[in-house]
Amino acid sequence: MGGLGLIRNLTQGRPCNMKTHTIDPDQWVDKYSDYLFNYTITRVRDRETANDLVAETFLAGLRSMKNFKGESTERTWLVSILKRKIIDHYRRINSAKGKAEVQFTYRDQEEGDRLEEQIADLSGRNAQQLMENEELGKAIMDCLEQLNQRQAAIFKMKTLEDADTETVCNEFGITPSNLWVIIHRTRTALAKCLEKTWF
Amino acid sequence: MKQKLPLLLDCPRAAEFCDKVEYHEMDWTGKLQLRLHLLFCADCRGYWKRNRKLTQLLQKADLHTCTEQEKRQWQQQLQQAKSQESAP
Ligand SMILES: [Zn+2]
Ligand SMILES: [Zn+2]
Repeated sequence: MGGLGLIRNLTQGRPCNMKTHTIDPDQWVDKYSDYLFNYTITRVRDRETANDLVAETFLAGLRSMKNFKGESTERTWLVSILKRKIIDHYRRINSAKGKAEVQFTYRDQEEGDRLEEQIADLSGRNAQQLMENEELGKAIMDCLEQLNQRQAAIFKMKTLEDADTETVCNEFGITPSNLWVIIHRTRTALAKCLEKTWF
Repeated sequence: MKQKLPLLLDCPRAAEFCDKVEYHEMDWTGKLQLRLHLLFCADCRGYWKRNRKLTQLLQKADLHTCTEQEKRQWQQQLQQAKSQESAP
């Protein structure tokens, strides 16, 4: 753990029941990269770009750590940085394609903000469906965050990345029977965690 | 002739088969064994149903995670940026 693992506790001028959150960049990659990556790829649909945007977000987060007020969770705060990165990304694309769309975006500041928000929040398609799926995705990620990190990583690689058994076993140095025990435990825990809202 | 009857699965094994089916890692004999077990075992039928539903939810959410390699790369970049920041 590095010296930058700040613990901020700014309680001034805030209701005392409001929880303050801590910030620790050493944990960001382990804790949030899957979430941030998924958030990005559903919006930019290109792995290379998504990878860059997440990397930029972590670095920007590090540089502006002093702005973290502890009012939101680390993850929410990082997502807000990421959103701006995604908007910037679309601006760059738009200005490369020609100025028309960008001008439309800036015609009126308020409307501009709203449009940008839409770009960051979903890119066209069936908005309603996308939002529901996103809600579900968020719930799944939240459930996985509560599990043992290694166990969750193994499950994700096998299930979400669709990696074959041998690849996962090699990456984590486990046997196939270890793998299936972990898969079983994770699936059971996940189903239980999602049960109330989604089953 | 002490060979175990190939058609009889116990519950833990049946659960394992259920999981493997979700990952398309079960051959037809395994599927047949599982089917027979499910016919007689309500507990495992419950697990089977939940597990199916979970797969459907996971597909619906269409989650994409990054690779371990990408994570390592980001971690390195972060550590590098940190050390540069703290350098005089
Ligand atoms: Zn059974
Ligand atoms: Zn997809």
